[in-house]
Amino acid sequence: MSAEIQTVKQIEKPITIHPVWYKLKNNKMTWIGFVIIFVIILTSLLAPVLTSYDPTKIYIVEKFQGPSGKHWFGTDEVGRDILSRILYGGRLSLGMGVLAILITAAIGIVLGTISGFFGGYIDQIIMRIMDMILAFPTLILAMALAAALGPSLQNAMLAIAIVKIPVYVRLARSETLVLREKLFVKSAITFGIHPVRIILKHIVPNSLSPVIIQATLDIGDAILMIATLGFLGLGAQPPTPEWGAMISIGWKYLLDFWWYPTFPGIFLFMSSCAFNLIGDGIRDILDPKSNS
Amino acid sequence: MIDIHQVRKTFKTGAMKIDAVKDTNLSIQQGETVGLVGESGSGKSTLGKMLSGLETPTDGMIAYKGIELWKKKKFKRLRPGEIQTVFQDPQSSLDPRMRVKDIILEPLLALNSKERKEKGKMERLIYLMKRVGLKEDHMNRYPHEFSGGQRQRIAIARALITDPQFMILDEPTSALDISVQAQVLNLLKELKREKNLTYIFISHNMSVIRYMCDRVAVMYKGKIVEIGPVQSIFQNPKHPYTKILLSSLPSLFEETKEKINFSHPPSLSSESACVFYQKCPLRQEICLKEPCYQPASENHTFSCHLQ
Repeated sequence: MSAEIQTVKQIEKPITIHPVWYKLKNNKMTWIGFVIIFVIILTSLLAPVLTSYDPTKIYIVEKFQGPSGKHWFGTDEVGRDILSRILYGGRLSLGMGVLAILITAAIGIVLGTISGFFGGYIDQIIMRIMDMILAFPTLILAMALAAALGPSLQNAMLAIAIVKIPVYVRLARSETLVLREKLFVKSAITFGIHPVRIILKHIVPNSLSPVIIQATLDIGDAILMIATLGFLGLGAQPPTPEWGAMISIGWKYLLDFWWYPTFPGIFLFMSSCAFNLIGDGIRDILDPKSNS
Repeated sequence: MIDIHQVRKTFKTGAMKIDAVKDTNLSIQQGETVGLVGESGSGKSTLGKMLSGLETPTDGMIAYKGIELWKKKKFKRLRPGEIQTVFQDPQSSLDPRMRVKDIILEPLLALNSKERKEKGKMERLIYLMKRVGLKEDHMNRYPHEFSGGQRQRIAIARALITDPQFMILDEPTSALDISVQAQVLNLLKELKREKNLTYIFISHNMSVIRYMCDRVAVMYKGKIVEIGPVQSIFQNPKHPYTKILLSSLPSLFEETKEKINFSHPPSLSSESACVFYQKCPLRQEICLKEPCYQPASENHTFSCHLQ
């Protein structure tokens, strides 16, 4: 009798897979994105182990050597190993891209929630400043800022962070405007809780998912922009190994020594693509409206 | 305990001005339950929001225990947590990302640290949860794991955590199904007796009002058209609007009811006309003037020319 009940119970117990994992499991493209990023991050962190070459050491005798067993991706115009430069450069390119987006998302959330929650003059001032930033083409403004701050990798990163703020402010603000009308926020106001606390406890956690989606989609873009600024000479300065800067010097030699700009380009393309794939996947998971 | 004196709330939408609440007077005594009834848009919720600090009155005075709540468009809380609100929709009144424990303890954040420690004790939380009919192990769950009735119980526990004296119940049961409504209403009634609370009960459901309240104020277009003890209003309604509201109640005993004929609204109307002029079945020419309040019996007043 009791055994019978037990079997019934066992059958009734549903197989519990967390919905996030369930959605992720069926999303192959996201997995490809994750694998690519994982491999690039791992290899760039393990660069000292994987290659024996110093990315900045000049060895002029071996300049412009094609891909071979000794130098997998060849060497550049002063004989540096391109593979090791790509791996070390990955730390900078990916790191700076992620950092730029983290900074801009954090500032964007703060400004956006304040703007949406308080409204009135504060809202007007913040949103008009954002409109000013939006009035310029993103890349041109980033170039102008990077040039004004002085060409260096950090300044390029800051310039990109500043240029991308309006997107996050608008996103956080529109979420806040919806949340402000929710009764749990209204009840928090009736309790007499301080507005800053309401923003931190209710508004920010509930408006986070669209910001996260936007951020993952933007990382790829930020990496590209850092590379673009590097290409234009406004980002990393030689001899720093950075993908954009490498392409910038290498493209002059494209016809004769194709491997020089091609391999950094492939890595740039792959990582940017991979972040976009991850971003798409995260959007599918977090956004209940896109049921695919 | 509460004194509402000549309160007015005007909403502006472009060039249009709408009086959501018009020169309303109401006083509430310690320990009673005052019901506010009326259709959607009659201003009953707006009145409640002005008491809880969500809407600023355009004009007039609201006093709590003799102290003005609104001073120069700023809401003053003499002691935070003394007035608490329970809202209509328990779906939206609980933060989906907070645990039940944190939700119930949340109002304490407005208190000073000494009071917060005293009232936020674990035993007190567990006692309150049990008192409103929740289990102790519900504490670490999230709101979406509960039914509508249970969520409303969480909202009630949250309102009670600060030991309020006055509670604004803004249609607390209208989002719940009938059997759960009864449970929640009974809980509110018991809590009132236990803790000697004062309620203002906003609803559009006459039966609920009859069950819960000592006094009723019937609102129409921002004005209290009739106010009096529940018995008196239900047995002897004076204002035509109150009569219509009561006649809409289903009843087991009366087979035939007085049919009310709705006449077509007149094209002519004036600013100073009675608020119910447009829809009143008994409309006459005198109704173009605003009626004064007149007594029907003790504590029972209404504003209509025709009686």
